[in-house]
Amino acid sequence: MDFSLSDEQRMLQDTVGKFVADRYSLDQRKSYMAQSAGHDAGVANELADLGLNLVQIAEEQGGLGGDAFDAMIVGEALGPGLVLEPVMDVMTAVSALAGGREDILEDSNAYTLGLYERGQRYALTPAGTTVADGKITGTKTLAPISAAATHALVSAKDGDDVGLYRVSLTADGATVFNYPLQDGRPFADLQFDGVAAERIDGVGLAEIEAAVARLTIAECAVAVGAMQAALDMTKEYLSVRKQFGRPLAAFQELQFRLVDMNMEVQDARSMSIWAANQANQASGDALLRSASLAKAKIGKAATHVCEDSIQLHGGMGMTQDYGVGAYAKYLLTFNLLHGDVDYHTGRVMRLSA
Amino acid sequence: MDLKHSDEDLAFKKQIEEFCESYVSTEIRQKIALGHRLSKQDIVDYHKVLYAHGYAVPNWKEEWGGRDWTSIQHQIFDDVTAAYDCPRRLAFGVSMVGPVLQAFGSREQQEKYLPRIARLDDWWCQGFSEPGSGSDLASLKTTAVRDGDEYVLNGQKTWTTYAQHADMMFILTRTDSDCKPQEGISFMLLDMNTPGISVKPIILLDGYHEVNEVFFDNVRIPAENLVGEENKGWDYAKFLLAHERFGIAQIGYAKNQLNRLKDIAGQERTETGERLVDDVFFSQKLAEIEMDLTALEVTNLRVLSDAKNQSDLTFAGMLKIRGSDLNQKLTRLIMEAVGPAAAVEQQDLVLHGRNEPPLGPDYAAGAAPSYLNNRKLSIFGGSNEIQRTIIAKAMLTA
Ligand SMILES: Cc1cc2nc3c(=O)[nH]c(=O)nc-3n(C[C@H](O)[C@H](O)[C@H](O)COP(=O)(O)OP(=O)(O)OC[C@H]3O[C@@H](n4cnc5c(N)ncnc54)[C@H](O)[C@@H]3O)c2cc1C
Repeated sequence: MDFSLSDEQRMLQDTVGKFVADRYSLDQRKSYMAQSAGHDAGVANELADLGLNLVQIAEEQGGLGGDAFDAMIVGEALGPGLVLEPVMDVMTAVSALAGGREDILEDSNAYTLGLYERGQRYALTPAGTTVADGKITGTKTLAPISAAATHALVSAKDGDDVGLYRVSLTADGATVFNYPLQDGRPFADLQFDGVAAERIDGVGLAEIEAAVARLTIAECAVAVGAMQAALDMTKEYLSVRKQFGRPLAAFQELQFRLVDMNMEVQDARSMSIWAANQANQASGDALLRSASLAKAKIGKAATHVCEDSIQLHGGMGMTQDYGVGAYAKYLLTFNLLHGDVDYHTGRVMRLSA
Repeated sequence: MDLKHSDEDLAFKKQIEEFCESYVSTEIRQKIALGHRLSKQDIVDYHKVLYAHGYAVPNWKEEWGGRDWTSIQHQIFDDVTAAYDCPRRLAFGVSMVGPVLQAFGSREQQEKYLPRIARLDDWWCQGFSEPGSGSDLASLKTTAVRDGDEYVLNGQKTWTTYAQHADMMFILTRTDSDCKPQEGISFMLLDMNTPGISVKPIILLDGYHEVNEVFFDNVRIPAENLVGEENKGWDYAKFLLAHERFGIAQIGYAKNQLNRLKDIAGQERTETGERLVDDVFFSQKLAEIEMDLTALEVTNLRVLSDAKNQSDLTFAGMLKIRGSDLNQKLTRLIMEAVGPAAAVEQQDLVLHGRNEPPLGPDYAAGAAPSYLNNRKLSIFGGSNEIQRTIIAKAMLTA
């Protein structure tokens, strides 16, 4: 057993860490969010140049042939930056759902994912999106969108058959409704009204569920990075802020609260490592169950860290401009995407180990 | 022992229900129901309706327009108005400075300010907290130095709720620093239009402009605006905070939130198509919160029914802690019940009542902002950590 990073992994971690340090301070992030696309296209290009979309693509297809540990390393390093671009979606889900098609893999940053529908909560079975005669009709929600997105991979039903389709976002009959999430990330609803759709061979509901499980595991690593940053910030604040003539860190009640937060973050990190290992080995129900164990456990930790990092900052934690709030909002949003704690706990119980 | 309401209380309840149904604007009630924010005008309009019906300042002495309600009747009023999605009364005038003026103000101050507070002709804000003085309020540094018939004020307040709307501020100032910090504080009344005051917004997590920084640069306060005696302000502030504790558990608000939660969970369907309210995890959470709420409601009534309990600090702190926990949990559960649709930020709708159809169900947009905003409940008015410190001290030194 070996928890240490390889030289390549350390390089990957450093590269992403340096990008976040240089380009994604919370102040810089605020200025990106204020732009019309909800992020900065130039910074997005720099990020694209890091080639993270290639991490999980096989070497024979021009990728780096990395595994879920590599995705985890990238995710945790991105976490402190609360990066606005859908890096993990592209790295894990788009790669997995491209059905090996090189035209998609080569240009994966241009793809968004239309997998959810309004009123269906966390279900991945398409309910109201249908394909007939090669044309897709229906509305998808919570698609991570960047200025680079020109196409979507969209789940739809053809009769009873669930498939995944490649659809152009600029075609006639395609409409994109942009909105920010609670944490500021640009997302969108995608509406299709008889738009030409090309089926991706070999991808059905099972493959979609597996890809989202891999994405969920990768997002867990981002959450761990964000929680660690919120914890660090809280620790620093307690050391600097004085009341009653002493630093807040001198009050035992607050020391214990900080310790509890730290235990949550460490447990979450362990869970993220375990889940990445599962993603490398497991498939089918075992993969889904592993993703659920991780997301439920890390989701609970996220709520704990979100709420206590605000509380321990007092009024400062309530403000939009002071950094810890950005992490809190990211952590609450994390729980509202790809299944909440109850959803995943239920799936752990339902799927046999 | 009998936990039934008397016939008189039931008649009172009916009267308040009729008031809510007939006189409170449905637009305001709708905003509250959806977790959207009220405008200044909404708050003023609601207050004027309360005033017209004699409900603006029921907690005051009868001489100043108060009503001779029992504690139970006050609670009924809070419960019923909350159940009808009415806003809470703006506390700063009615529950804070009003009672202080009645207890410690001069006759001139009472006559000048109390009728205007009752009608909300003046909007008051509370200038207690400072950047360096939050939980440790007694360390406050904003100075008021006597100069003839005036005090000259310098320093800064922060977290001042609705200072941007305020005509007046009641403010704690340092008038003596050669003594124990608590013994050099004075309680003053400040006209917000006085030269030298600047107000800077602080935007909260939900995007709402609710609080402010307020700066004082040689601001002159007439000496007649000192309340009571110089350097006795801490006593008046303690009196005020004790008054503020009435209704601190926010039982009516919690009950209304629970109903809203059940309503949403009845409309939302899980991935398997069953109603969320029938989902085993969710219904367990609903059951648990009902237990907590029932116990807290009765604790609150025990406090209201017994003067001895009312002056017991262990009870006051408990109502604050339990009430804020419960209301925070409820807004979290509402957000969970709404599910992924709550992840979409719709600030224009929630904050500014923009007239566009919401994305998703109408209850979705306000869910996360309310959750975020309610984090304040365990921070202000004496944080839950500070409350526990007070309770521990009261228990162990009794
Ligand atoms: C939305 C909002 C509205 C407000 N409105 C007003 C207003 O209108 N007027 C006004 O005057 N003030 C207002 N306040 C200020 C409020 O009263 C303060 O935020 C509160 O007193 C806490 O002070 P602080 O923010 O400086 O936190 P701090 O005192 O710095 O506390 C930070 C953390 O440390 C904890 N802590 C501090 N001391 C101890 C201790 N000894 N033991 C254990 N834990 C401790 C606290 O509980 C908190 O968790 C408002 C605050 C908010 C958030």
